[in-house]
Amino acid sequence: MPAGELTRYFYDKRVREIFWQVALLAGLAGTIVVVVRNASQNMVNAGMASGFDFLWRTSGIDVPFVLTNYTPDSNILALLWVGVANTLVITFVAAIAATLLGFVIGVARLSANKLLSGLAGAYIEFVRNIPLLFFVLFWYFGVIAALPGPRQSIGLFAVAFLNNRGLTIPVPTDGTAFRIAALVVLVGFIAQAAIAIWAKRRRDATGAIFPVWATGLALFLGVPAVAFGIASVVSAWDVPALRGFNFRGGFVLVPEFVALFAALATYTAGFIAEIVRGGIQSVVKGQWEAAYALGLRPNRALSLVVIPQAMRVMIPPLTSQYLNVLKNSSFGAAIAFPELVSVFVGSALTNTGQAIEIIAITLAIYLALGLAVSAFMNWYNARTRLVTR
Amino acid sequence: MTAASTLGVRPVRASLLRRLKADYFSTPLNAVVSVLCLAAIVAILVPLVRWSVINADFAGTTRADCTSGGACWVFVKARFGQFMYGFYPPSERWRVNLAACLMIGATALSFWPGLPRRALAVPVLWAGLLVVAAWLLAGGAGLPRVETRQWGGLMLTVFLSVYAGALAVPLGILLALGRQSELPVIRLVATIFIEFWRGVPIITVIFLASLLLPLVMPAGWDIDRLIRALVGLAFVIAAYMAEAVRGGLQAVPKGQWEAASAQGLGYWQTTGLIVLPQALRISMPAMTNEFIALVKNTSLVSIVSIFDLLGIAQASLADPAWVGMNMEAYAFAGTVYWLICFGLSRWSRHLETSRKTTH
Amino acid sequence: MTIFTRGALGVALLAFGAGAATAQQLAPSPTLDAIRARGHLECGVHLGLPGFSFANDKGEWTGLDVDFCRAVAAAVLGDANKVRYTPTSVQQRWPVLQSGQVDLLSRNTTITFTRNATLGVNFQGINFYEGQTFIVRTASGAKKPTDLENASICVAAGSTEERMAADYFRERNIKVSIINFQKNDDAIAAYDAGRCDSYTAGIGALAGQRIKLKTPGEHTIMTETISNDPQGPVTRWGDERWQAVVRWVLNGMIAAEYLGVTSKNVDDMRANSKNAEIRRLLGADGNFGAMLGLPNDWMFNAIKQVGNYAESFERTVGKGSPLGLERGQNALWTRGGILFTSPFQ
Repeated sequence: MPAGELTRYFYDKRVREIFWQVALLAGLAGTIVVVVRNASQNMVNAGMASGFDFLWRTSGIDVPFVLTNYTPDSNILALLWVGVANTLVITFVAAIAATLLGFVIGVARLSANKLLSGLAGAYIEFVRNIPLLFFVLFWYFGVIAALPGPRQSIGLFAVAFLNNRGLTIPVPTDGTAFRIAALVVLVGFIAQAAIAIWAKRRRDATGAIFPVWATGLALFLGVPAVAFGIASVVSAWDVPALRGFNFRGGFVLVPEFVALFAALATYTAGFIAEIVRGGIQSVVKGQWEAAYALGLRPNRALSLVVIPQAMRVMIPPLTSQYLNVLKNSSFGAAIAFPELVSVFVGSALTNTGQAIEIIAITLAIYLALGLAVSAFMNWYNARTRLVTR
Repeated sequence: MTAASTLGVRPVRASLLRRLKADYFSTPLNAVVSVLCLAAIVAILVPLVRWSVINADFAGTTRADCTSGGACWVFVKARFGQFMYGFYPPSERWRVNLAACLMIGATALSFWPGLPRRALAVPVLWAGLLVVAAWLLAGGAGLPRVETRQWGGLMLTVFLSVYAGALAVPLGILLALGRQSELPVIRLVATIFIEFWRGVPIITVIFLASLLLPLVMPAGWDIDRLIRALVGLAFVIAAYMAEAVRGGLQAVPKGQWEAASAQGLGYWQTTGLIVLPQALRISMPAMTNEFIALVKNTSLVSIVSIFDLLGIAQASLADPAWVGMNMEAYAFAGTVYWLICFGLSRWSRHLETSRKTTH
Repeated sequence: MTIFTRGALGVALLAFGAGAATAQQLAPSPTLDAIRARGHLECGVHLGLPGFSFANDKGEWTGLDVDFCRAVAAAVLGDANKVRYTPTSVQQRWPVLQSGQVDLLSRNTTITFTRNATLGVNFQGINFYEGQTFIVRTASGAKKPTDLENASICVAAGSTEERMAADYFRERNIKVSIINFQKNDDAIAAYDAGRCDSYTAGIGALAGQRIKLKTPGEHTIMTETISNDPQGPVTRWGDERWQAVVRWVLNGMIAAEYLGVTSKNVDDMRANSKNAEIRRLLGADGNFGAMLGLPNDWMFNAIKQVGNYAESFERTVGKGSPLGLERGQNALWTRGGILFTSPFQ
C-alpha cells in the first residue's frame, strides 16, 4: 500500500474512530496483563499465599457488635457477612436520621425568623467545611466522655442500662413471638400504604381529603405497640445483670455505633439541608401564591404543593448523599466500629495477609451496594417525575 | 434596591423595638422559636468562649504552664512548627514558604482579568508552578534533598490537595469528554472508570494505594508512598470532577457544537476553543466544591500513617510530655481545615453569582 | 590439578581474602547492593512506641528496635546514622516489607508459624522476649487476666494480641468484649477515655504505652502473662546472604554482651584482647565480615556506634529509661535469662 493511500485512509473519520477505540482497548488489556503478571510473579517470589481458600478458615476474631449468628469459631466468610450487615444497618439508620434532620434544618434555613435561619445557616456552614473524620472522632470521644462507667450506669426501668460501654437492652431468649409480631406490623404497614394510595387517588379525583394520618397513627403506632406488647409479655427475657466488669446478657448497642450514627447523621444533614433549601427555592413563587389563592394554609401548601415539586429537583442530589452515607460508613474503621472495612480490610487482612483478594472483595461489595442504592433511587425518581402531557 | 428608595422616598424607619417585635415575636410560635434559638446560641457560645479564650493559657513553654483549666494553647504554640511543616528540617522551611507564596501568586494571576491568552496561559503557568514547587519541596539540583517522609502537617495537606487537584482536573476533563463521546468503546471505558472510583469509599482507595499498589508493580520498582496516596486521591477526585465538567458540557447549547463544525472545525478544535471554555466556566463552582471535598478527604491519609495536618495532630498526642491535649489539637486542626474550606466555598459562591450576573 | 597449583591457589586466596571479599565465591545479594547504592538502610519500624521505636518532636528515632536498625546500618555502611525509617501500622508492616519498600522490619513483631509460612517472611532471631498481658485501672481491683470477666478490652486489629486474647478467654469460658482499633494509639486513647476496662499488649510495649496515659500512676500492668511472644527482626524470603547479615548482626550484639565488649572498650578490645572469639567478632582475626560481603570491621562499627545488647536495652527500655523494665527473660542464658547467641566460629 503506498504511503499516500495510507494517510488518506487515516483521514477517513470512521477508520480513525475505530483505530482510537482499538488502541484504547489494547492499552487497557496490556495494562491489565502486566499488572496481573507482576502481581502473581511478586507473590510467587515472596512466597505469599493466594486464592480464596482463606474465606473458609476459622476467623478467631472477636467482634463486639454482631447482628448475625457469628462467633469467633465461624469462618472468615461469616466475618465478612458481619461487616456487610453492620455497614448496611448503619447506612440505613444514618440515612433516615440525616434526611429527617436535613429537612428540618433546610426548612429552618428558609424561616422568616432570622435567628432560626441564621442558626441553621451557621450549622450548615460549620458542618460542610470540616472533614468527616473530625466529626467521627468528636462524637466518639464525646459520647464516651459524656457517659458514666458501668458501675454508675443510668438504669432505665432496671432492664436497660446506659454506660460508656454502650446501651445494654434485654433480648428475648426465644424470638418466635417477636417474629409473629413483626409480621403483624408489616401487614399493618402494607395496609397503611394501600390506604395512602387509595386516599391520594380519591383526593385527585374528588378533592376530598381523607385523614390518612389517623389510620397511619393507628397502624404505625397502635398495632406495633399492641403486637410487641403481647410478644414481650409471652416471651422469656435475657435481662442484663452487672457481673464482673460490665453487664452480662442482653444486647449491647456499642458506643462506636452511636458515635458513627451521630457523626454520619449530623454531617450528612448539613448537605441534605442545602439540597432541601435549593429544592424548595426552585419551586417558583407562583406555586405558593396559587396554593394560597386556593385557600390552603401554609403547612398544607408546603406539603401538598411545594414539597412534591421540590422532590423532583432533590432526588438526584439526595441519591448521591445516600451513596455518600454508604461510603462514609467506612469511617467506622477509625473508631473500631466493626463495619466492612474495619473487620475485613482491618482484622481479616492482617490475619491472612491476602491483601489483593480482600481489597478486591471489599471494593466489589461497595460497588454492588452502591448500584443497589442507585437503582432504588432511580426507580423512586421515575415514579415522582413530572408527567408531561 | 427597594421600590421606596428608587422612588426617592425615604423609607419610614421603624423603631428598633417595633422591628424586633415584627421579626422575632410576631406570633407566639415565632416568639418561642426565637427564645429557643437564643438559648441555644448562649448554651454553645458561652462554654466555648470560656474554654478557648477566658480560661485558656497562652503564655509559657511546657505543660506545667497550663494552670487555668481551659484550653492549653501553649501546646499548639510549642508544636506549631510541626503542625505546619511536619518534620521538614527547620533550616529548609523557607522553601515551603516560598512555594506557598508562588502558589498564591499563581492563583491571583490566574484570576487577574488582564491575563493575555488565558486559555493557554493558565495551564502553562500552573504546570510551571507545580514543577518549580515540587523542586523546592523535594530538593535536588542544587538544593539539599528533603525526603517526603519528613513532610507533614498543613504543608502536606496543601501539597496533597493541590497536586491531586492538578492531576484530577485534566483527567476529569478527558473523562467527561470521553463519557460524552460518540465512540461506544471510549464512552464505556470512561463511564466505567468514573463510576468505579465514585462507587468506592476513599478509605479503601487509600488502602488500595498503600497496600496493593506495591504488589502489582514490577519487582524493584518503588514508588514513594506519598505519591501513591496522591495518585489514589487524584483518581477519585478526577471521577467527581468529570461529573462536574459533564454538567457544564451539557449546559453548553448544542448549537455551539453545530456552529463550530459548520465552520469546519474538527473535534479537538471545537472542544478546546468553543465548548470547553464555556463548559468550564459553568462548572467552576461545582469543581470548586469537589476540590473542597478533596481538601477534607486528604485527612484520611492519616490512616496509612502519612502525617498530614490531622495525622500530625494525632501523633503529637502520643508525646508523653503533652498528654491529654486532645481537645486543643483537634480544635486547632479543625479550625484550620474549616478556614480553608470555608474560604473556598465562599469563593465558589462568589464565582456562581458573578457568572449569573454576567450572563 | 597438581599439588603445587592447588597450594599456590590457596596462598593467593589467603592473601586476597584479607583485603577483598571477591575471592570467595559470594552469593549475589541484591538487597546489600541496593543498600550500598542508595547509601542508606530502609528500616520499617513501629508508628510510635516509646522504648522500642519512637520519634521525638524533631523526628529523631530512638528505641530498642531502632537501635537494631542502626547496628545493621553501621555493620553494612559503617555509619549508624545512615538509616531511613518507615513508620508502619499493624496492617502496613507486611506489604511494606513484601514489596521491598524496606530492607528490614524491626518492629516488635511476634514470630509466628502462619506469618512465616504464608506471608513470605523470615524471622532472623529474637531481640526481645515479650509476654502478653493487660493494663487496667488500679481502682478496678483486677489482679490477673481471669479477673477480667465481662471487661471490654481495647486492642490493635490484626495484632497477635487480638487473636491471643480472644483464644485465651474463649478457652476459659470467660466472656469479654474485644474492641479492635486500626492503630495502637487509637486503642490506647480509647482505653484512656474510659471506653475499655483494659488494653492488652506485651509487657514491654505496655510499659511504653503507659507513659502516654493521662495519669500513668492510676494504671497497673498485670504481672501474669498469657503468652510468650518472641519478637525479632524480619526479612523477606529470598536473598539468603542479606538474611544472614541481619541474623548475625543480632547475634553479634548479644555475643558482645556475653564477651564483655561494650561501646566504651571496643577499641581496646580490638587492639589488645587475647580472646579468639572477640578477635574474630571485631575483625582483628579472620575475615568474618568479608565472608558475608561486609567490611571486616562490621561488628566493630556496630558495637562502637550502637553498643552491645545490654547497652541498647538499658538505654531504651531498661533501668536507664522511663520504662524501667527488668532484664527478666531477656537476660543472657548465663544470667538466668533465655537470650541466646550462636558462637562466632
